[in-house]
Amino acid sequence: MNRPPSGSSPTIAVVGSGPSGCYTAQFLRKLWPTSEIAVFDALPAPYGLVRYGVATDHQGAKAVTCQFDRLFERDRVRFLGNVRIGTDLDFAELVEAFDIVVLATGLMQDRPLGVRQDPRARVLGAGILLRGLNGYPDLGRSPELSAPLGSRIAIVGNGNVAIDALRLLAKDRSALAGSDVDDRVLDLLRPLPVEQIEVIGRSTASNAKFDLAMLRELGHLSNVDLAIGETAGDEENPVIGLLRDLAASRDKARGVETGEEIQVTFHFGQSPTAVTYADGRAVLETEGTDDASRIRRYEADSIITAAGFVAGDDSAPVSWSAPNVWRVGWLRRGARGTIPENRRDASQISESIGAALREGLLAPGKPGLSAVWSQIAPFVVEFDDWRRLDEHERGLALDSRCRRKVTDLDEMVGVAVGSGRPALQST
Amino acid sequence: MGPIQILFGTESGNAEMVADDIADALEGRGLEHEVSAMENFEVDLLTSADFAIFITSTYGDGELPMTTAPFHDALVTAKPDLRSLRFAAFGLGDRTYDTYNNAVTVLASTLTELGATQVGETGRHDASGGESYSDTALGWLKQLLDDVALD
Repeated sequence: MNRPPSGSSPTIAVVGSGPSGCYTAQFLRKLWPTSEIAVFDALPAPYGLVRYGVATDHQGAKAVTCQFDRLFERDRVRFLGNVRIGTDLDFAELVEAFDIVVLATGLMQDRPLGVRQDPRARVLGAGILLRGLNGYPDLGRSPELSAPLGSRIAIVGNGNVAIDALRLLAKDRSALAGSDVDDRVLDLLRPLPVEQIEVIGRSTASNAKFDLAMLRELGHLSNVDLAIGETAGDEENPVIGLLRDLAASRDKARGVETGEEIQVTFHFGQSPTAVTYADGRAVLETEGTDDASRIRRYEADSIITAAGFVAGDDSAPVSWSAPNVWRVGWLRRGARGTIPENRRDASQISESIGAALREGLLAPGKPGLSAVWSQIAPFVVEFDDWRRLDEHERGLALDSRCRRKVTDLDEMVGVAVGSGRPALQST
Repeated sequence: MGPIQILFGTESGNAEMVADDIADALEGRGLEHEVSAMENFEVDLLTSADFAIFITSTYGDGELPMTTAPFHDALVTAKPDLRSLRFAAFGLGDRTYDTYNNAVTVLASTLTELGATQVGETGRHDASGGESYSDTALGWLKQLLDDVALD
């Protein structure tokens, strides 16, 4: 093999195979065509947020994995799944083994509302909800996702995640054609159609974070009646304008009602103050963001919080730090920004990594994967193994779904590595 | 004829991947070509180009991607004379949204207004449709090359 002069081709470990990790691997591959690049993931399946966070009915957004597949199939980037850094392999050893370590573990924990909460009230994070509907391993068994959400739901938040939650709970089974929704989890959460969804946000409509395209998409759902509730007087803006247009065009189309309409009402400028419990229902208490005397109460069978994401057990701890360690994406910037925005972050971080090596701040020479291989070899799931699981999941799909994910972690590994796995090979 | 200019504008990298695929296919046919990101390409260079392939995604609520927009702005501002340019256009979009493939339509119409001649149909990939980017793009390219003499 034609290697460039020694020192110019570092060994690279990326922790996390979500979009930020994969984009970083992609940019670093362009920088160093012959470097060893190893992408670790705690799960036996790659792509993190794309597989488990992006809404199951947004397969177009999930198609970004075509790019990442190439990394592993064509561009000689190694996928090392089922390896949890910090548990299966010490972070310190990783830092010793690789010239460059990039942490891209993202942020997965739903940010709590931060208000007093009656424990009897059913409150569920939108992140867990989306992961559950996405067939995240072993999550379907969790008590949080095992009971019906009820017919009246309040969603707190005005970002795209709130709209994802709303849309997935509103869509009937047939509207989810082409998705890879976990129907078992959906049926547990929604045995009967939802009747009413209220979306409550702190921001005014002008400052709401969701994309207009996401709202427009709601206009296509034939079983959804959109309405505008609290506006705090902020009504001349594109969001309210669009909601009005969508509501009006629905009114026009009346006469083809199915009898199972879901009333969806958007409220803006209301900040949660408490979650209480009354008459068997959760109650979201709010006050006006600008006017604390404008107090409202939203009764619901369940409250779904979409208030952003924070570090949880799956995020790299702050203590994981060394001169050859970089952070990228949500882990570095906080949980904001779309996949393209985080691609730009990956590009910038890759450039700083390149600069650090050019300026001699780091001297490559560490052995890379071979130094840790014996530790991970017994259980590692590589890309070819994942391909087996991938095909298996596509084959399991029923009812116009594009995939049915295997949700038992042991079963995922079993399908991936096969029963009669040949003797493990060293690199 | 000079090299075929392949120009892409992307947000998530998919249009760049399609540009790479098209470049590989042209390579396979022995057609000289150059791939550039629109953001790194001076619009004046188009006045001396013979043939260009434009690939762009659509972003947000039908907007041009951040890497296509400055290029498009430069076209609108500098108004280069593109009467000697022939071009083909391929868009990446998502039918889930009303603004499906808006950006490539905007770009192609601006190029046409500046005197360039579009050949072939505008290619369009629908990310929600399940067909791979490569299959759609290479199918479109094959049709284009069958219809138009580029060498």
